[in-house]
Amino acid sequence: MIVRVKFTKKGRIRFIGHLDLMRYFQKATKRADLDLKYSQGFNPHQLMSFAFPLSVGMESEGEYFDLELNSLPTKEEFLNRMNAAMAEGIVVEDVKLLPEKCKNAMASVSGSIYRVSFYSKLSFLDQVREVYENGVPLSYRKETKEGAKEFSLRDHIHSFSVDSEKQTITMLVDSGSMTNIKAAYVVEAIADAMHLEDPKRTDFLKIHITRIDTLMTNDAGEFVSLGAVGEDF
Amino acid sequence: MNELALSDDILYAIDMPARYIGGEINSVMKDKAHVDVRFCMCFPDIYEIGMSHLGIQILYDMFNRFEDTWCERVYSPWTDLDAIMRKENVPLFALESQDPIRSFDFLGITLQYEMCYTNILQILELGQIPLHATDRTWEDPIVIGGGPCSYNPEPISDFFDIFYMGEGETEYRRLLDLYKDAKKTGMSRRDFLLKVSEIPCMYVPMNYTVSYKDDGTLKSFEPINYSVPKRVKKTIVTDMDQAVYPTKPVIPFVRAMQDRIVLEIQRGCIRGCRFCQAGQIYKPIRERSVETLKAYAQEMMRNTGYEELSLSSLSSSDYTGLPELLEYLIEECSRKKVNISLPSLRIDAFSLDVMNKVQDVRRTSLTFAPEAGSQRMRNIINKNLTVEDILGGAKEAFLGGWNKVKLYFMLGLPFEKEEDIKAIPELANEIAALYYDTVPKEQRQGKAQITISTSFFVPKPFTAFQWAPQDSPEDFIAKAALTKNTLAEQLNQKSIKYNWHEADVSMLEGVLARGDRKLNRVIETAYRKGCLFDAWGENYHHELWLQSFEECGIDPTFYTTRVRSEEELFPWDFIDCGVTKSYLLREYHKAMREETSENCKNQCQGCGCASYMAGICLNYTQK
Repeated sequence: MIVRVKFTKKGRIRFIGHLDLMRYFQKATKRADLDLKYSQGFNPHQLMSFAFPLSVGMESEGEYFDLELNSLPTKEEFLNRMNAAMAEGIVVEDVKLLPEKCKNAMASVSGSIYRVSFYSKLSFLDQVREVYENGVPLSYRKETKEGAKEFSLRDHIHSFSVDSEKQTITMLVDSGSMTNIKAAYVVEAIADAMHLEDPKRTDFLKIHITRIDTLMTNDAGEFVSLGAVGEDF
Repeated sequence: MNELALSDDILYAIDMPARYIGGEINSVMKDKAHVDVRFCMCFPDIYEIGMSHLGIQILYDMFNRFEDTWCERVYSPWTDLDAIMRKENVPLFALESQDPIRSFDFLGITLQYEMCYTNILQILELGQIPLHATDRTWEDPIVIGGGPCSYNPEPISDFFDIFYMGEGETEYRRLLDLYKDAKKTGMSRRDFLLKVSEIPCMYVPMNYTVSYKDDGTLKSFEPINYSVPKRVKKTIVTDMDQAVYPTKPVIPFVRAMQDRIVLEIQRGCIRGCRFCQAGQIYKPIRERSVETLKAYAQEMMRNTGYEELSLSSLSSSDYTGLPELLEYLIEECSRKKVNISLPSLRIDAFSLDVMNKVQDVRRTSLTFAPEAGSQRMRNIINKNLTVEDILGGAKEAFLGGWNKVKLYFMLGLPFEKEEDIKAIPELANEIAALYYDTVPKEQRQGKAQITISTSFFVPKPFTAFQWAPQDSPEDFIAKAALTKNTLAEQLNQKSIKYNWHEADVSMLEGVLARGDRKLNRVIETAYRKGCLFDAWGENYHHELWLQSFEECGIDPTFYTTRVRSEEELFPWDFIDCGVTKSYLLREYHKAMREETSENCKNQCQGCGCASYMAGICLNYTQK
């Protein structure tokens, strides 16, 4: 049986990279004494599949991994045992039993909701909202095999809101192996579109990113949380 | 949780910020207001190296079990952070609290290898602690060193307040109580350090004066007053089962060099190999019981979730409980899906059987450490391994499916002749030939893959070879060339690879290992010139070290190639580590006569360690 685990990652732990995080969880599940299923062969390993890597420095309120088990404790047991094995800053928030023949977390990822905040107080966030709402082209330059290419970000941004009071920008963008839009690309593209100059530009580009949730696309073509799949147990 | 000492700006600018944030599983957080003593343990190299060290885990656990003490950790910032910390005046901090190390009561620095000495100065300087012990006040922590290099602490004696001679599990409680008392009664720091000398295993450099003869050798090493003992005696754990053991070790987030459960099965060694310092300073051999180790293994698997477990000891094959322990571990680890990483074992039917059970023989190599190529040379170094042992073991291994063999040797051993050096590739050739003779063509998984690795011998204090001259780097290179050329003449040379080490670093290691107090200035000079992370090949700047020697008016060869007379007073003679100087000299003479000595199990050699009345010596004293 496969469960999907939701966890948050906040505080100093955000400086642990993805590979280290995976190895950390492999030990945590053993400390939690879960009935883990292992691969066959000389070097058996856990069957754990993370949805989408979080960059070093980013926090998250919605990360996921799928885990294969031989048997399940109660949901409460699962959460308690896992959280007893957690380091400060990582909380296992939820766990759901996935249906048979469910696409794994990694293959499912299609989007992310990011919340961007800043290190200094910005006076021009209302203008940022205007620039977005006015439909000004936003493009990002990417190095490809054929040289540098510009591509439009707008097609890949599905929602965008600015809170000038809270000093945050929240956006829903495409994520995944096919297309991956980083929050930093969007911010930089807006800075270019606004022709921002220093010191405003530097302040604007120095961002702190929190992933609010990791998303997939449901049968109806809508974005839903990866955590929407599966049932309680 | 505390705020981080490093700003986001800095953390984003450096490699592997996870090294500096703490918060690891099993790291200990206490309320600093509720402890009397704050101890900071330091490994003077980067985090990934330091976190691989069992010693710090043992002491960290021990200190944190004391209710009145909070022990934290600090490691060398890598060069990128080092530069930023100097530029922006960020003081070096401990990982748990993120507080500056200067605010601690004690800074304990472990001394595992000589090449980390410049890093010690980095720790002190970035910690904003005066480099010289004589300049420190009660505003500064007591800087205490321990570990193998403390068996000749003289080259770094200026930088430490105290050296702890021996195993850390025994006398720290006494030191902390002495410290708490001193603080309560308003004792001066100098008086405290005088009182510390009353603890037999504590060496306080500033309580002794040295003088030199005209030829540069040590003339005298004297205590400054009657309350300070003439000699300092190593302390050891006598009952290994009673000693503390970290069954909840701190688990690094980043991948450490050794990132697994470590079970220390015994301490010490019976073999008495004449080049080996560890074998002498950790005497007498003391085992942990199999029952204790089984319990530790279970606890550690439960507390860590590690997927690999290893055994730690000097000569694991000599552990009397090895078959029973391995049988247990193989079964338990298989159940819990934990891989076993075997230590170097003597190659025989038993170990091959074990290795077969835990390793994929097609991918792993068999390791032999003959250390010398000819029987004559092996007798000189008292390495009890014959050609029959090696070939017999190799043959069994080849029949069992192995085709990779690693052979470790040293070049520059005392009384070495050309034919001894040539014997190295000749031996490798014999092993390769044996492979082709033993395994029929259809069953071979490709060619035999034999690797010869030679390091350059560095004479160490408290060994039979502490009187021996060390080869110069030029000699070393010539010997490596001889090995290489002789290899090229071998029939099976295509199945044999040869790796050799850096000669320059071995020279510096040789100077520092048998150095005296005059070297303090050289180390500081080299550090000021930018020498740091000397153990890291790419960071080692031999020319800067040579310049430093010159500027200080010191000839490094005085410490390396010079032949030492049997009457010479050594800078480390004031230390009583159990083995007597007369025993070591006896062994040196036996080496000259190419005679071997029995191991402790077969026959007591009267080395002097029986004075500890512990471990294997009890077999002889309890009659």
